[in-house]
Amino acid sequence: MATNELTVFTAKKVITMNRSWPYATAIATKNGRIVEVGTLETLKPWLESHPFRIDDQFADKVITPGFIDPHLHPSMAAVLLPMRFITATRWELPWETVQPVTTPEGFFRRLHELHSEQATEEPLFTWGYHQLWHGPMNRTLLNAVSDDRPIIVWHRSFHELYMNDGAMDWLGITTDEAEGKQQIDLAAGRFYENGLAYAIVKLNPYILSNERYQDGLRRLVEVAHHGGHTTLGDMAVGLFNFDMEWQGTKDVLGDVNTPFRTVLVPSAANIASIQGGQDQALTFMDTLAERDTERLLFPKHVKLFTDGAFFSQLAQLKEPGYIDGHLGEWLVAPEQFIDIARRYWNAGYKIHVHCTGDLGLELALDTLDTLQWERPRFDHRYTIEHFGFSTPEQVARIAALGALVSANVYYVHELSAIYAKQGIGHERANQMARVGSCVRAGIRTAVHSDFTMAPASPLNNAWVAATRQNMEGDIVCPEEALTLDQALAAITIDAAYVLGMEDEIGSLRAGKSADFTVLDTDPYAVGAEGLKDIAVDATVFKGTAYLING
Amino acid sequence: MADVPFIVIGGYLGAGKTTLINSVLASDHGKRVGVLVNDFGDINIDAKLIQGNDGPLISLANGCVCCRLGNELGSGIDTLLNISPPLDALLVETSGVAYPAKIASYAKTWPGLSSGGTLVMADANRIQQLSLDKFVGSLVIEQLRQADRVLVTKLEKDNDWPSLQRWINAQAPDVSIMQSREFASQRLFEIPASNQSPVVSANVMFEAKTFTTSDSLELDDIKRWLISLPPEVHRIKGIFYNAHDPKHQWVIQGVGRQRTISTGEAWGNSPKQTEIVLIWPKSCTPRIPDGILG
Repeated sequence: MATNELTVFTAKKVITMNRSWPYATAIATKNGRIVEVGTLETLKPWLESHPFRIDDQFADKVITPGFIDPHLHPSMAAVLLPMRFITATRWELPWETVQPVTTPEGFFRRLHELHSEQATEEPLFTWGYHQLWHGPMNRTLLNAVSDDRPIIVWHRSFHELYMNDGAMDWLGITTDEAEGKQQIDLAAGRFYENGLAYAIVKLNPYILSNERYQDGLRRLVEVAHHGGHTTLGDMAVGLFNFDMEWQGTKDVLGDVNTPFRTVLVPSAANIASIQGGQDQALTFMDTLAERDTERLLFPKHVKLFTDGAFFSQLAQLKEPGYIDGHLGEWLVAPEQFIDIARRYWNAGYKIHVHCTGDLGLELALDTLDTLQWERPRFDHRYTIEHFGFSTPEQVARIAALGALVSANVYYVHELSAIYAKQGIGHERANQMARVGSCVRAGIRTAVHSDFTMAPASPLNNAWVAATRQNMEGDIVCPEEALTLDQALAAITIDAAYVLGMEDEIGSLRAGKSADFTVLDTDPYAVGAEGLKDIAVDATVFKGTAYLING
Repeated sequence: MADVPFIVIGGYLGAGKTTLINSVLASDHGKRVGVLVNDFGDINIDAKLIQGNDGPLISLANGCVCCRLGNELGSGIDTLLNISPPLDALLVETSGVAYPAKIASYAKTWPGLSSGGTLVMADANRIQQLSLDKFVGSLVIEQLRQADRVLVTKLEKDNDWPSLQRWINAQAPDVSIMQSREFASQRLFEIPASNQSPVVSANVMFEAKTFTTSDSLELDDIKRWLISLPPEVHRIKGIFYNAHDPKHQWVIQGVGRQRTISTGEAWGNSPKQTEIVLIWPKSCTPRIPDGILG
């Protein structure tokens, strides 16, 4: 309902991320939009001519622009989050703090607890098992917890799972048909690689059921809220099943109580596969904006892919490749990649390209070079997504071609040490996600979680980007760290730029949406090292406050 | 019920995979084949030949059934395996950038399938140039290496066939090579059994262990030992010495559960030494039974 009344939020400090007007202590808003950022003193011209109310609930807090994660996957989150976590590392989930479990005894103790906690009718899914901490796993050990109630233990890597007798009975996996097959070890109840694919076909009707999927999305809403987000980019709509996902997106993410908006970027390959071809896909994509609501937007962006998954070491690498000589993967043939990119380029779309390796990046850049030659576009926002391995020379090309970077810097934290030893060696592993060079080259650079690949916490990602501290506690290639200020831009204004929404969100200035994240500590007071420990107390989405409990 | 052979058609874009699939769907080869394709749009099915059209399935006059692949190869395989009466073979057309061995390994995992071999197609006029391409050079060579048989297409009179064969064998030693003129669709069902080393991919790294001895091994003992090997042992190969037939080598071959023993070449002047290699995925640690090899 439109009103003439102003709401004025006061704070200990407002960090605007508007370079020309960087700090303030009060923000006047009207109907969910900022009318002025300043102090109660400088706001007077507005306050004298409008009715207003002072909202001082954040008076001793720090307000920043609402955080933006320009690349995560609600669909993957919706599958994972309904599972119970038993993990070696601590996970802060809105509904529970998962305490680390680092011994086999601890794992089974926790599994017993979960078994007695939940109604025995429901299958029990756990995620986070890892043999380095939790020891051997097999069907017999699980049967000792229960041989009756289906129990499914999913590995931390997602690449394998274990089942008890109850789960096999439930899914109708019989000794007859699965005996003696590779990658299925019936005696151990273990399914991996293709065997995992076999188990997933059996599990899909359950884990992708509407009810469970929507429960997962509701959990994602909580997770995103706790991370301080007011905008998410769903960077591959249609990954599982477009219609099923849209139903959940509409019902849950589009709900009037959801405290953020979602920018929906369909995956061209998935859309083409359901629409029966690239031409049909583009026609369909052109209709999607008709579905826009207040919280759901299809802004003519498209997601393409070049090379394989970073976590699986399937990134395509230039010489000298991987130490063990294995090859990366193309997700699409290079010549088809340029055909598809050309369609969307010529139709005026903003293209996001998943690139994990330096050879994948090379294909994305060669393609952009060709497209610019054929049909030059200014302000095209062609974005390199993930940006795992790259060379310094490629950074110069990204800049010269006018592309943007949206990086998964969490790679540095979780994978730099292990990829140095078992992957590509120290020199190249240490320089993964070279975001410092990008910013120095004048490239607009955002960071993202790719959740569920990394925790959905922009402050944590900013912390990794600004410290480059890995899991071992080592600082990895400090030359590529962002400054604190650049790291904050990467989760606010530069992330908005990547989503093409910088005129609406990403900084606090007159005219923009009143989207804030409320922090208990000033990031500039604690510095880069302190970023990950700052608590998010609340968010404000379009002028409405959503408190975070606890 | 017997397992259905799973035949993989690989090779880079433009090599002729779809043309081959079309000929399987249209010709009379006497086999009822289930064909998994990425897109119905690419294949050219004569409307007169279509007998039924049921969601992802199209049934054809020659008894073949065509299935469109969704996101998951597995669901397509299951759909075709559920057809009654059972099909004679499944044929999958891989994407031009796939590693065929990865797809072929489904035959060893998926209940109801057995290995039908991997045919990799190569365009005579393009393959050598592609092998130098900065993006797909290593890919196309790896595809050739993962073939049980390479089928060379679009060969013209002015191609130097012997030199092309030599080139292919330089990339993929020992692979059997044919040209498409000599290849009728029946021959699809005669692809030689896999003879290649296991694929090394990021997800499945393999570990190998070699056993050697100069003692004579009894056939019964070695059979018992083979049967007792755990299923994680993915591949076995080797030769052994048996004093009852001192002139010849005895050969062990095994992929998955299929393990065979046969007589091989004469020892000649080479030392009568048993050498058996076992290969398994790094992710597991199979317990190798004691016994003959100690």
